[in-house]
Amino acid sequence: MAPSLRTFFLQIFPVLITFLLLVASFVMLGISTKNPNQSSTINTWLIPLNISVLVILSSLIIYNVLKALKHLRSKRAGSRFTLRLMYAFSLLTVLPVLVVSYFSMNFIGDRIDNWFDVKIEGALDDSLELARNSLEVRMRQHLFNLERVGNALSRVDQLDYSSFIDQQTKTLGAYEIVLFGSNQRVLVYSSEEAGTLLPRFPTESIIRKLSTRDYMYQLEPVGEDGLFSRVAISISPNNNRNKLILTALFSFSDKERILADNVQDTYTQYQEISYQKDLIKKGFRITLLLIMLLSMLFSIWAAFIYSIRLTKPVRNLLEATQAVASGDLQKKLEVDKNDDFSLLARSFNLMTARLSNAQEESAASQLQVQRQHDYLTTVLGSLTSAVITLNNDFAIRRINTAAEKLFDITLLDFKGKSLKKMASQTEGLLPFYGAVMPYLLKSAKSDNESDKDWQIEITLILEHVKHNLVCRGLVLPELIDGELGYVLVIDDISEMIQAEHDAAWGEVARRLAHEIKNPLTPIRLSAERLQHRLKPKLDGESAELLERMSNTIVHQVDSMKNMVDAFSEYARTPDLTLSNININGLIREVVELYRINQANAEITLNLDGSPILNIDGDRIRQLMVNLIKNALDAMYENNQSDDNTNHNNSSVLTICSVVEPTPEGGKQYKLTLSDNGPGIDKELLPNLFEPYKTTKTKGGGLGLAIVKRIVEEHDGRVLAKNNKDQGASIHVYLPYE
Amino acid sequence: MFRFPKKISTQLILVYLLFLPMQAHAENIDFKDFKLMGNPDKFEINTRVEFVLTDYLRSALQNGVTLEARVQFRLGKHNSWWFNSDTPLLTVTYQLKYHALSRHYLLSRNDTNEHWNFSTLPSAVRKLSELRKYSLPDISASLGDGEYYILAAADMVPSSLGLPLRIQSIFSDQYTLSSEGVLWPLP
Repeated sequence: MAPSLRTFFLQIFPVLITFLLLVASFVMLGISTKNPNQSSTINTWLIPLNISVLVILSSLIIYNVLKALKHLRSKRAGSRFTLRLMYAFSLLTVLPVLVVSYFSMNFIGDRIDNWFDVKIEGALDDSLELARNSLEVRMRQHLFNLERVGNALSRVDQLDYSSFIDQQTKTLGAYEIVLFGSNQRVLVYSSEEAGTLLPRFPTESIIRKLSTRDYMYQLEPVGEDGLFSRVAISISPNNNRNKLILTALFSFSDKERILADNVQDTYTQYQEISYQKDLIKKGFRITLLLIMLLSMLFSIWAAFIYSIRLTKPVRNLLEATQAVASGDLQKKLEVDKNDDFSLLARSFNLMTARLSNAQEESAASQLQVQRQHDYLTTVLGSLTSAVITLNNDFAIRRINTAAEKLFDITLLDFKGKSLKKMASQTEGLLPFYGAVMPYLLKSAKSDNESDKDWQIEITLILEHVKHNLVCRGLVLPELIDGELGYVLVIDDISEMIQAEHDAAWGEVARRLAHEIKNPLTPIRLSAERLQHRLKPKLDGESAELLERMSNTIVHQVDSMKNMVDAFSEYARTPDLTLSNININGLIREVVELYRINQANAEITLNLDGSPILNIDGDRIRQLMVNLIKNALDAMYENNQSDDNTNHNNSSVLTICSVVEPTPEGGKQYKLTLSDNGPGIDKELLPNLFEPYKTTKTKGGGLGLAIVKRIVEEHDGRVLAKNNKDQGASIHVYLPYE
Repeated sequence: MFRFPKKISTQLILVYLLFLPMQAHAENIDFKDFKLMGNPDKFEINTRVEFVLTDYLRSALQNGVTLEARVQFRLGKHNSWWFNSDTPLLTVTYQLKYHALSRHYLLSRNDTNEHWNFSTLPSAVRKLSELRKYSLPDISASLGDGEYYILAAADMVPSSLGLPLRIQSIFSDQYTLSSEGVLWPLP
């Protein structure tokens, strides 16, 4: 349905119909009040019509009130305002109507009471009595005339009664004269009206009245002919015992009759109205009440409709405001040019349009910022250098992935918190804090540009691993909020230094092998030849000295050769022969060789499954040998020193392996060798895997360095740490695919 | 405690509602000694319609209010599956008023233009009640198959005072008299 038709049928049409019904009801009431006797058809329809209009109006009012209450209960925008307006308009409508109704009711009562003045009523009674008296005089005259007829009748022969009475009727001008017999039968009837064949007489009334006295007279209205005088006497003609009744009907003169009729009509009319004056009051009051009620209900309903229409722009505005408040900036108000609220609606639409544009721009800016943020995060995340940004108070604003990985921390744990707190809560970071803070403070206070860009080298022990860091600090330009910021870029150069270190050791080893190993064989052979040639030629003491000296030379040369061989081994260029090997099986094989060992240590295996790794079996076997020997040596030396104090010490070497997930989402093979020996010296621990970093009395100090090299050849990593209770552990991590 | 079954209770209520209007008008106007004689060409009715005037009507009559009485006869046909149908035959109308000057009660019959006067109200009402040898119009043409009956009803109302809304009847049933619809099957 088109909006205009819908509006017409749902809003205008009911109002129009109700209004027309109301007008029709008022018109009919008006006609009925003015001329009730001639509007019987109208009266028939008036009450149903009025009831219908009352019901319709009451239903509409109740419907509107319930609707308004429902809107109020559901907290619809503007519902309270609308209800208040409806209440106010209704009150303003009802109060004057009630006041007017009250005074009108009383006024009607007073006016109707005034109609029935006591004096008028008395005058009417008097006029009626006067008329009666006047007519009574006439009736007595008629009676006198009839008595004369009665007396004359006694002198007339019974057979001449009829003619005599006819003659008297004409003489007296009577309407009729009738003679009844003793048995109440009509003996003679004489009348001027020739057509009356069957006259009706009030016989019983006449006889009853004559029973007390011999005459009677009374007024007698006869049909439409008007008022007559009825007179009757009892006669006994010729001294007869049987009494006859002679009665006559006389008409009055025209003047007397008209006057009497007027008095009668006026009296009757007044009495009728006077008797029903309460009914008249009620009638007019009810009519007035009905009109007032209909007017009042229509006014209330019209007030409701007007209130609803009046508050519609405000309600629309409130609803639109709520919609905007809830985020719907596309809400528009209809602009009606004939409405005073059109300017407000236009301003609202303009405001929402601007808000919408601003929101879109804000969203676009936010998106751009988000993109830049994502870009920056991606860039920072892809950097191998650790980056930490600080605000003016040295609180952490951002930490990139490399920094999280380097310091083994999570950004969310420390974002917004001070650098000091992060350093204090993270193991091994206090030296970092102590190193960078002086520079940060200096850069914050100093105006010198050179102080705002600084670089230092820091050595940290993180997770028992030595890290050589290069930290560069920089003061950031002012941020949007006007605060200064700092950025720390940290590079872990441990591997680079280690690589340089390894390269240097390799070069040393190659040179030693080349420069020292070659002369060792001739030296040894020369010493042996000297002993072989000269010993027989020398006496006993000199021969013994020669043998001892030459043996010393041979042994030292052998030692040097072993040392050079070890160097050669360490410096040997990686040449891996990779194959898929069950590494746990390989470990078991190696361990079996050391079940019986010098340290009397028990070797416990806890190897999980049979993982296949792509490794060089010989190199890994060497790795295992070095690790096991290293552990057994440590425990043996510890046992040697403990034997003097405690003989109950038992050595245990536990070897565990497991395949575990990596933080990057892959898998790795973890091998752990844990002993209950003396542990690793704390000072030695950071440099444990460097050549000749050992506290053992035996060995060349290259075992763990070779282990580290083998692990790195397999793209793995190795770390060592002391156990919490006793001994140390070596953890080897190898990639597992 | 004894309880009527629901069906019986409903029937009792319906019967009560059916007889309620009869009880309300039972004492106002009553048809007595109704006799229907003759044949469809000319039916004659003898009956006595007893009007028992209320105090209000007596008082109103003596204060100038004219009373109008109507006795209506209708020819009805019984329908077994639908409401009975009836057609009006004729109506006898009377006017009864008090003549203050002569202290007489005037009774007039409108259809025959007859007039009577009585010195007492009972005699006037007695005259009003008599309906002797009253001839109905020829209804032979209206009769067909089925059961027919004569339906009689009477009422008495004060003549309109000239008030809007006819409010007399709103306030009390003392203002009007009416009879039940009484029916007699055709012989």
